[in-house]
Amino acid sequence: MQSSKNPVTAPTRQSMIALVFIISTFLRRIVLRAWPFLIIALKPNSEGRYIGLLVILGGIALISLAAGLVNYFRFRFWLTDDNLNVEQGLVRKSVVSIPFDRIQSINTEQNLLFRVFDIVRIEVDTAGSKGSEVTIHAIDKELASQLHDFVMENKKAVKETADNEDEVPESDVSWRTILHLDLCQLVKTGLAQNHLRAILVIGAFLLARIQDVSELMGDKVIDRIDELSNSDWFSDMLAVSVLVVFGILVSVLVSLITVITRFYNFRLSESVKGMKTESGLFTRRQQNISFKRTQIFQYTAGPVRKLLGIYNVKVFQAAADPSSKGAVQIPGCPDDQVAEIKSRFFEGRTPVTELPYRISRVYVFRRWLLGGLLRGSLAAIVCICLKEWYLLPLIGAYMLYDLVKHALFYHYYRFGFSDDLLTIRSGFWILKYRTVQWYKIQSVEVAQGIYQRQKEYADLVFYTAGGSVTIPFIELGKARLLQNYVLYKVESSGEKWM
Amino acid sequence: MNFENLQLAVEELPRAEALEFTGIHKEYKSVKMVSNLLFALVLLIGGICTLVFSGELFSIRWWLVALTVPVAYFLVVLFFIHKSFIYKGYVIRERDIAFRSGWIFRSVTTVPFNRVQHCEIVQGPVEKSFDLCRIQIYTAGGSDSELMIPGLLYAEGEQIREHLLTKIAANAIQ
Repeated sequence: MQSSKNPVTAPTRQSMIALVFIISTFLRRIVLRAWPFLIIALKPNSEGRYIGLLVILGGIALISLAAGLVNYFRFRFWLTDDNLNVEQGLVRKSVVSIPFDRIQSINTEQNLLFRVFDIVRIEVDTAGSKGSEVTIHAIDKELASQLHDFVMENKKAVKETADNEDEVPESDVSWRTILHLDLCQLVKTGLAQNHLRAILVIGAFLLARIQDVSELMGDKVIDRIDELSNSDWFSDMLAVSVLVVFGILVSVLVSLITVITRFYNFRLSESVKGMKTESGLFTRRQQNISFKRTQIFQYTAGPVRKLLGIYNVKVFQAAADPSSKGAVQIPGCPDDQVAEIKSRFFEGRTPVTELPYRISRVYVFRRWLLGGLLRGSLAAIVCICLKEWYLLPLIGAYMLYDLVKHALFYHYYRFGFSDDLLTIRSGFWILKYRTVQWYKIQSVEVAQGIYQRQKEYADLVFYTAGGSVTIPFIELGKARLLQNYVLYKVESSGEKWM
Repeated sequence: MNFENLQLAVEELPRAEALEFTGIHKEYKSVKMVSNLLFALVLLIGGICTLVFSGELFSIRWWLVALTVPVAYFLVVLFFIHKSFIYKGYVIRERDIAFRSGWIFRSVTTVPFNRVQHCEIVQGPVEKSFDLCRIQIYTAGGSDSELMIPGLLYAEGEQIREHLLTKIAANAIQ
């Protein structure tokens, strides 16, 4: 069935452009580590010349250049019949061979410079096998696609002899665009980001600044400012509202810029076996989603998003590091399309039609008791001891907020399941819907604290290769029922979870 | 489908909670004690060294601190070791393995054999002197979902691993 020939039989170096990239990476890394020395050296000598700085900068440049050159010339890759081989190492040479079977996907990335030279950077993703991720910094786009095809075809060949699955060969796969975001939709998405967090970050930053100022100028200045501001309550309020408006503006601007640069010209296309996303203004990035590898399908919507009718979809795939690497984001997905995309992921499975089950009401008080109430009371005691009365209302507000947060969490938490799937809705401000297939669960945990033991409640945790889902505070009987059900589902299933 | 419907079917399913958990070996407490005693000794020596070098050699108050901290640490740990030991236990069923642990917060984690990636026997120097070992069972679900059963006799550990390996192999063929 071999339709394409091995494009890289002999050990090959990366494209020369990779040198630029590698050297700049080394430069950045060294500067990041050595910046305190740079600041120390930022002192002119008696003749007013920055000799120390020049020497250090020259040294860094030289080292980066040397390291980059060695790295470049010692990095070689080639393909054998069923392995991708990479030889590398600055001091010690090592050869890594990755069987095609273990390669989950090959993702490509292209930044502005690379686009000029028609070059791509490729990342070979081997889910679950730690230490064997490989990145080839720069190779010709043409070669990259040949390499991709060869790997995928031969992977299939290996598989077919093994378990005779009749799957569509990679070359016959046709891609169909199912979602394309234009600038207008991206702007909408940017506007719908969570700006509350950004405002908090800015607030914390400003507070820290005030701290710095007081340290620099002594408390006298701050006292004066305090006096001034205390005398004029109105100007205080004005300053706060200006700050809030400013915070919102900055936050909106920043998220607009990040969303547009990251997801510019976002395209989601679909084939029989999976989907792929392409996006980016300066750096074009292509990510692959395979239906088989998908562990958790998640979509979220905050109040603003709901109003605009767009959802943020995230697909967690099996990965060596379940937290970040395997997750692929589909931003600004129109609500009518979420269901459609979701159904593609769980084709042939019984869908979850309703979410009838809730967690226990006890959750609210218990979590508050151990969280906001405990923390707040401790803080209040400290404040009373220090006689810092003005902080007390703030602590009170925090405790109230924490209580409301848990109450809302309880209010919105729902779960439901079918023969094949489990869906959980959680969150208190931004609602998060997560769907897992029973047979993809790796292990189950039933956990209980003292109070839960007395009152016969339990937390239930399901672990998958792409993160975990938790059902907190349900009756012990139900938790055990679900645990037994899941174990039965997993143990009776012959399907591969990946 | 609703919960009640499911309940009927589920009633006939094998139950994980009805099982007798096998406790781990008592010597495990000794292992924990010895290794924590070593740590307390290091604390003590560190404290005394600090006293010597900081010139507070004749301050009774600091001597008290340097002595009580390691001792208190050791006593607290001893209490925890004793309390958490009672609940630790494991069950091997035909198709999965479960381990329960904890004292204040207790949990039971169950891993089906057809989700085990690999397993290994680990034996530290202290464990070796008591002829104990622990067995580590890895899944693809990340470090939180992995099982570690401590306080097994080395022979037991090997038996369990043998058993697991045959189960994994059987699943691979299926």
